[in-house]
Amino acid sequence: MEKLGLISGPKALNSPARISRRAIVAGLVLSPFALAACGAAGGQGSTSGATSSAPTDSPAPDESIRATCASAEADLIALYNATLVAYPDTAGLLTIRDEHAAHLEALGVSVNPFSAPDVATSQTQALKDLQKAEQAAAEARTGDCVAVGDAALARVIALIAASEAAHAVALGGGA
Amino acid sequence: MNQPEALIAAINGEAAAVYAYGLLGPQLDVPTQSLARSSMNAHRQRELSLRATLDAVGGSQPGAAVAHEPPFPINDAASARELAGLVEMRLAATYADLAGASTGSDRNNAVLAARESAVRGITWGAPTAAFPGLN
Repeated sequence: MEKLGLISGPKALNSPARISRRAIVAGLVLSPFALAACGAAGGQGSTSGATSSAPTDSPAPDESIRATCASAEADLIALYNATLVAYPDTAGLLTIRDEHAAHLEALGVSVNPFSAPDVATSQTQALKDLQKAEQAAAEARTGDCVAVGDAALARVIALIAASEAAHAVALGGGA
Repeated sequence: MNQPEALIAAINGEAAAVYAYGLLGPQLDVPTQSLARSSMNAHRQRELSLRATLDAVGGSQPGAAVAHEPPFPINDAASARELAGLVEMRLAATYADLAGASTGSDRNNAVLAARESAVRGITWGAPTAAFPGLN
């Protein structure tokens, strides 16, 4: 008999459930340097690997997408912060805000300054706005995930997309 | 993990999910059982789709599913829901692995499946997570 939690397969001991956030973050911080190796090992080489070492022109596509994702996370954190100031007793928002902070940390990009978004004058509308922002973020990250070359970055963005789609539903929105 | 390995992990994850729903379904009340049934059917479809992709990339199909022991006793509606939430969240992480190991439309499908599983996990009462299935 096999434990259900440990999904069967050759990689059972390395199953995702056993990978800590630290490991995810460490993998990402290293990823610009490991990019070529990842591509080769996974058979997923892309043209972006070849351009990543070029110091000229615009940033490599992966780094540009990583920055876009980080900026979107910072905007979401700002929206949650502003909503929490307006409606401090709204249950669950603090937890979700912290999950976005974990996304930002995993992306390994510092973002400044945070925006100061307006919050709706009714709490119901403010929650709807958060749902809408989460749903839009899940959609945007799905596109970003497909666009990146680096496999490890794609995996983290996929996790972020799944987290944000789940947030939208947890806040009472649609899938 | 290369794409065939990640596909096999996802196929095994889907088979485990189908098995879990078969196990937990009878513990639910009748209206909720229909949600379990539709979830189970969705996982069957995903498994077939994964097997087709595995064929397309020239991988060998994994053997028959093994029996799975749940991580805690499933003896009431609460434990049934908890198992469903757990299985869905872990499957979301498995699909994120597949997204990393795939490109193009295969990767897009993997992200959509990860989202779908995480959303279903919330529906069953699992808590939100920064990295579904990993924390």
